[in-house]
Formats: sequence, C-alpha cells, structure tokens
Amino acid sequence: MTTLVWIVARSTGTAALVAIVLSVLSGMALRSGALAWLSHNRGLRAVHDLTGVLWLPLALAHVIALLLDPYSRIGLADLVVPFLVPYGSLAIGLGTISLQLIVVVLLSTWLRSALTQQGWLAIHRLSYVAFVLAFAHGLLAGTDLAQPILSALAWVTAAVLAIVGIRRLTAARGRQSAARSKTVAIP
Amino acid sequence: MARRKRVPLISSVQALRGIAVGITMLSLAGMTAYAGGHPYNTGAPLQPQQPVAAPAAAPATTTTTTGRLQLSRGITTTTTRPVTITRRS
Repeated sequence: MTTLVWIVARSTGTAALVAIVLSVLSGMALRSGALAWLSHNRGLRAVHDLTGVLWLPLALAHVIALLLDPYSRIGLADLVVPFLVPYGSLAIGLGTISLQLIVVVLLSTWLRSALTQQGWLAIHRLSYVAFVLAFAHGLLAGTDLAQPILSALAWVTAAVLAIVGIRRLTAARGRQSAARSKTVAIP
Repeated sequence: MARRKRVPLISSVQALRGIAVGITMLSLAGMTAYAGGHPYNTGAPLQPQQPVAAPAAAPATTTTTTGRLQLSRGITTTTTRPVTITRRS
C-alpha cells in the first residue's frame, strides 16, 4: 500500500508539471504567435483553458498521496506553511509556494469578471513565478528528475519555454513601440 | 500579389484538446509504469528516511594487550624542587 501511494505521488507530480508546462506554453503562444504553425489562437486558447484545469486534480492527487505516505513525512501544516519539513525544506517549500501561487492564479481566472483587467493581469503573471518554482521543486525534490534522461527532457522543455518566453517579450515590446509611434504620428 | 495565409497544422480545437490530454495522460501512465519498476532511487536528491545528520563520532581506538601487568624498568625522575628540606644540626 505504501509503495502504491509513493508511486502515485511521483507519477502525479510529474504529470502535473507536464500539464503546467502545456498551460504556460499555450498561454505564452497566445500573445506571441510562437505556435502559429501548430494551430490558430482559438485552439491554443482552448488548450490553455483545458490544461489550467487539468493540472489541478493531478496536483491534488500528488499532495494527498504525499500526505498519506509515511515515508515522505509531510503533514497538513506543510501545505500552508512552507519550509517546515525536517528534510529538504527548501526543495519541498518551493513546491508549497508554487501550489499556493497557482491556486491564486486559478481563483483569479474564475473571478475575472470581478477584477479589473490590470489587476487580473498582474495576478495572472504570477503563473510564471509559480512555474519556475514548480520546476525548481521538481529538480531539487523529484525522485525521477534525478534520472539523466528525464532530467534532459525537463531541461529541453525549460529551454523551449524560455525561447517562447523571449518571443513573447519581444512581441509585447514591438506592439508597445508600434502603439507609441501611432500616437506620435497623430497630429 | 496576394499574400497566402498560412494554414496551421491542426485546425480542429477538439483534436488539439485531445493531444494536450494525451500528452498529460501519457506522462502519467509512463511515470506510473516507470516508478512501479523503480520504486526507490538511490540517486534521488531527497532521502526522507535517512536520519538527520548526526555528529560524527570519534573513531574508536583499540589496543591489544596480553592481559598481563606490564612493568617498566625505568625510574621516572622530576626536576621540581623538593617540598621538604632535611635540617642538619
């Protein structure tokens, strides 16, 4: 039974990270057009919305399995207060903060109509921080990311995300400068 | 000359959703199978069951004796001044 719970904790943790990668990737591609060759924005939007919901049951299963597993020695307090675990407190604490940030992002999405556009965008951008923390949590605490093949896959994925992120930033800068030049051109 | 509009590889929203779910579920199934075959990884960064680093104990030194009293011939002498003085009348 303990072994089963441990296996569930590991597999759901990795799958949740994959779902978050897809969510961040599709979200960045929406504005940058980096995946225009793959699909149109309507399709990417659908993937972004779906993966935003897909990671939640996986992350919950990951957390519940770790709570049930006596080997990992994680308690309910560790879900609320990071860095309390007697071993690997940084590695596990990063996961706690990441989970909390993503929950905030998800709640802000559900309550979008009650927020201003600027407020929602500010909260939504926390998902980048959450993703970096989740990635670091996976590398520092993940039993399977210590394997060379899986580690290589994770780093390749991170590199792809970094490239798309840079394209997203340059696209945003280009739009801003274009808007400024239009404003100047108006007499 | 009219510019040709680029057609994306996948235009069906449902197909794209299916691919996203497929990638996630494939990773879940793959990791479950892998973790089932390798329940413990000695190279994992965290090993919860290991005790918290205890202070290293001093290495125990062992001496072998014969079990007999060892007597030495030498007489130890000190250079300190004697406390008592013998008076001469």
